[in-house]
Amino acid sequence: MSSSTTLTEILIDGISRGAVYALVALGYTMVYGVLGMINFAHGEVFMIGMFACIYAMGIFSTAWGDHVFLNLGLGIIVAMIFSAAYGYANERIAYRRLRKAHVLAPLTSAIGISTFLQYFIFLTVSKDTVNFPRYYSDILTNNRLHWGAVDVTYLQLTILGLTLVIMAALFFLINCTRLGIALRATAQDQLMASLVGIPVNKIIAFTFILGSALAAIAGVMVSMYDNVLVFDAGYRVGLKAFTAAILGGIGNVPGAVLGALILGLTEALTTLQFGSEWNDVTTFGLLMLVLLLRPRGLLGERVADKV
Amino acid sequence: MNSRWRPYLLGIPGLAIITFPFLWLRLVPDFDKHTVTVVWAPWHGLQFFSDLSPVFLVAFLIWLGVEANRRFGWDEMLTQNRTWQQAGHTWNHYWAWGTMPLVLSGSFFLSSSSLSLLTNVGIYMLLALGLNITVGMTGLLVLGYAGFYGFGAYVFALSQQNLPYFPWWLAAPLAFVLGGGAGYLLGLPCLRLRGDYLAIVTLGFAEAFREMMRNLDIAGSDRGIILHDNVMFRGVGEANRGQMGYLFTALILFLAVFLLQRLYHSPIGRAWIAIRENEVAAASVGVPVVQMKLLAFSLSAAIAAVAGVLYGAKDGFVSPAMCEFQQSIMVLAMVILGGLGNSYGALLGAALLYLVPEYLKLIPSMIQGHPFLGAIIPPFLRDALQHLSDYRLLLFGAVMVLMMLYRPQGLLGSSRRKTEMLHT
Amino acid sequence: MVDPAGTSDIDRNVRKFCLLSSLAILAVIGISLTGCQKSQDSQAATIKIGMAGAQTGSDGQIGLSMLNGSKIAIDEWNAKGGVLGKKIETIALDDEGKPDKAVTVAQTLVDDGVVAVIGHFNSGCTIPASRRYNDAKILEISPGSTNPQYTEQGFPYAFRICGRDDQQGPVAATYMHDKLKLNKIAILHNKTAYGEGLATIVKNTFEKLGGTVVMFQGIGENERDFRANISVMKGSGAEGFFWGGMYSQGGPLCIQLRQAGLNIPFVSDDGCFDPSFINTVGNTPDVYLSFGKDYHGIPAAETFMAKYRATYNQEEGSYSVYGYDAANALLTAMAQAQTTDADKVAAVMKSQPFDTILGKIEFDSKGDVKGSNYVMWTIKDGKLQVLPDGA
Repeated sequence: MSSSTTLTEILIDGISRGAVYALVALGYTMVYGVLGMINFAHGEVFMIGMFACIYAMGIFSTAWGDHVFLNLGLGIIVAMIFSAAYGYANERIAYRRLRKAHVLAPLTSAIGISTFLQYFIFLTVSKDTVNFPRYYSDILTNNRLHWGAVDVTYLQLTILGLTLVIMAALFFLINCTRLGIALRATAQDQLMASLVGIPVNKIIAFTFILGSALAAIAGVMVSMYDNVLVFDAGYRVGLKAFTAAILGGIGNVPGAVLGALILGLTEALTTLQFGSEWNDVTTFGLLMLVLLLRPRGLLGERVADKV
Repeated sequence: MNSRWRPYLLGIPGLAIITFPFLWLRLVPDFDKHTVTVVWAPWHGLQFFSDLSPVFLVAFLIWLGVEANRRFGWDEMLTQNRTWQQAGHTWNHYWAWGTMPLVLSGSFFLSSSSLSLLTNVGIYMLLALGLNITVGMTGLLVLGYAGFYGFGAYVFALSQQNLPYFPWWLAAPLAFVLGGGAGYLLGLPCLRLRGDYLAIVTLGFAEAFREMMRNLDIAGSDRGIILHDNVMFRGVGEANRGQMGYLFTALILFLAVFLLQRLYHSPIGRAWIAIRENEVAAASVGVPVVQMKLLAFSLSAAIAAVAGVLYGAKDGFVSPAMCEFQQSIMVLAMVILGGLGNSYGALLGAALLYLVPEYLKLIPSMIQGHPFLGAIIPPFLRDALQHLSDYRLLLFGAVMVLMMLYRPQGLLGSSRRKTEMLHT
Repeated sequence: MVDPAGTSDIDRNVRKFCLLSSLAILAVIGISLTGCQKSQDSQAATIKIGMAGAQTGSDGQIGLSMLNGSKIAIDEWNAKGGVLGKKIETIALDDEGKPDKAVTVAQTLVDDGVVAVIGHFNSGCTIPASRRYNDAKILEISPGSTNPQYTEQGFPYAFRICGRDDQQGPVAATYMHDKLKLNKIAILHNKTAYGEGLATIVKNTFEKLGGTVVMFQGIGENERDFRANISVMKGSGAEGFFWGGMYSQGGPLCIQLRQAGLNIPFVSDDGCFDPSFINTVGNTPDVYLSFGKDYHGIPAAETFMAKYRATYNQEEGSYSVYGYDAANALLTAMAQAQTTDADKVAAVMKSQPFDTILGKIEFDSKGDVKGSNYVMWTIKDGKLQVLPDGA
């Protein structure tokens, strides 16, 4: 095995990791862009999407358990619905009242909700890991595509493809549609936006719902990729995803994806060079480096200044 | 009337639906076909609610208390509704000096497990005080506070282990300085820009520091460092290690409270409050915002480091588990519960959040032994109390959310503070 | 309606004083209650034995099953009249698998006046707690801590009934080198005292046997995506793989290894010896685990397992038998020594063999069980089965 093959493989692994972080980072970056708030509970919404998909697949398996793609597709849709519902519930219960409050209030509320959801799943579903039913993921994980030096599973291709498609769709939404204009207006100045007739509450709720749905897709992909679901999956991924969003420039959709890819690559390359035990250290070092040298993020941040 | 109840009418069924699968269904994996099916398992959900029944009971009592409070106004009695100008010289001084002999003398007549318990409480109180400076007074969110705590502990342990003639009493000031330095370095890039980044950067620091300590062998990797002679508290007369630990913690705690109260009632404290209330206005009145933020952050990091030293000296044992996110969240919850910006609130929050779970663990055995209580408390409540410690973190999260929604000023905060917090 | 803001300052301060002092008195009473409660029964009509281990947390299931096994033994002794003429009272405390909680638990047990402790489960907890017990001259016997450092500390009152990692490691390493004929292996561990310690021992033994370890890396505990590590493994030309750690990561690791096309033997330790591991991995070939002797088929074990299932309504865990044996050994030694004094009991424990479900065991001078108990297991037909010698 030549080391250049290893390098290629490591790069691919890094990119797939990064793609997963990207899907979650998009949710963080959107909420921060519109509300100026770090939504700590986003990771938990990701995790709930994972579990909701499994439950859905379990329920549907009695009806059409043999059709892999049908079951999987329905599972993803149900996961998106559940995550969106949880995201909306978070917003209504924990954040809406605190929108005009000091920035600390919604942040601590978010941490509280995050802890609550984590341990809710811990206590009701499983304290341990739950396995993803491989019957449904085998098709994607066991088939590989060989193309020159590149050797990837279909799942990795799917993840990468989905990320790019979603990023493009989101970019289009924010920049080329009326809804996007409403989003940007709400982000800039909530009061003025409401004066101009934009239903601010609905727009904010929509942001949460959209971000959560994306997180659900990421969740299902990750649970297929890793084969296990666990209640604290959200915390880890959430931390990395938010770091990625900062790296790329908070509030910036392409920035979030770029930051996530760079983060994923850094982790993979650290594993190659130093050993995976140093992953967190290099990630943190990268964050500090970017904050020191290019504090607005790689592609620049897009948040309105709150005066 | 209709529209007031509409959110609840739609919301509660909505919540029931989205929690439905997790509470009432169970996953049954099929190992041969590698698929999964779902079964109806109501017992599971009923167990959840019955285990939480004491909580609902307590919540009801709290609601009663809040209503009574509205009638009697205890709240206004205990919390200071005065402006910062008026609150200069208060009764609090006398309270502090008055309780000091009581607290210090406890080292002689309390049993050593009580001493150990109270020393732990004291260390958490110190942590809460430190976090209060940034989160409470200056309004900066810090999520990785436990990183500085572990930093101080490792400074102590490494210095004791590797530097043979290092005097133990130098470890605390050294940790203070180094911790402050680390806080300064960490804060420099973040506080110049967006304060929100501080939360993530401190969290990253805590995780990275923890990982580094786990990876390096000289730091004991995952086993931690066990100091065999526990050099800090040995050989001071007859007193044993537990008593010395308690005394030292109490002394440092009183010192910290005194110094911090002096600091809060000085121009520096007022600058911090100004930054918390409205950063731009503070800057335009001439408050050196970035420098004040850095001061707050370094000071709080330094205090955390000293708390780490105390912990390491108390048990002679440090491990990377000290820097975990859960620790940071616990200290944050203590500060929030007690009152943001209120020193005594931080102390109260620390005491409550540490002691209440400990007492809860003792209750089942107390009830079983007790003739009277054992009879009147129905068995399902008893079972619930036994399992309640499993639900501890769930309740933590719920308490944090509810506190921010209904009482963001904390237990000892004034209603004026609530207005300040909710309507910037 | 009372309007406190309208009353005078003095009146308000008086009421504040009353309220605060009543709260303070309550607090003092509360604290002294916990303080005094322990010394109430100094006139012991029972013999107190402490049971410490992880009852909640990620190792909670295994820890709890271990303690339940001990409880069965103690109940049996109590049914026969207790030990030394007195009933045995157990104080079970939870250390959540965390070292700092373990130290607190140790302190509480010491103050409770226990004469011996069965516990803890995680090596990372037992090692710091043992110092407390040693200082207080309390005998400790651990059913599940395998890290060698526990007994290497030189404490006369520290015992364990399971094996040590430096017995387990060489068994795995020798198997890989001699039976599987591997020359180059990759090792991953989970950075804990247990995982990394065991992995290091395996590495050293394997290298002593003449093999090479081409990769030695650690993985964080929440990490579930091992693809980068697997790619590095592929590039390093490893012929076999050892995982030092628990099943929650070992399972996904094994699956991802096979999915990446790396069909090399997967060898792991007792941390993966759990039904959840099999559930995750399925009937994958070439999976080997090291664990203690197979106790299925031994009549005493079957009785124990039936009793466990009847009492607790669930399957026994992998360490329940060890918990049972630990308690039995302790109580037998106490009965033999005719005292609860730790020095004498320890002397008895080190001087004679004990009958346990796992056979006759003898403690050596350090408190370890003489002779290695470890064998290799593999997965066949969806169950873990011992490999017969020579396989």
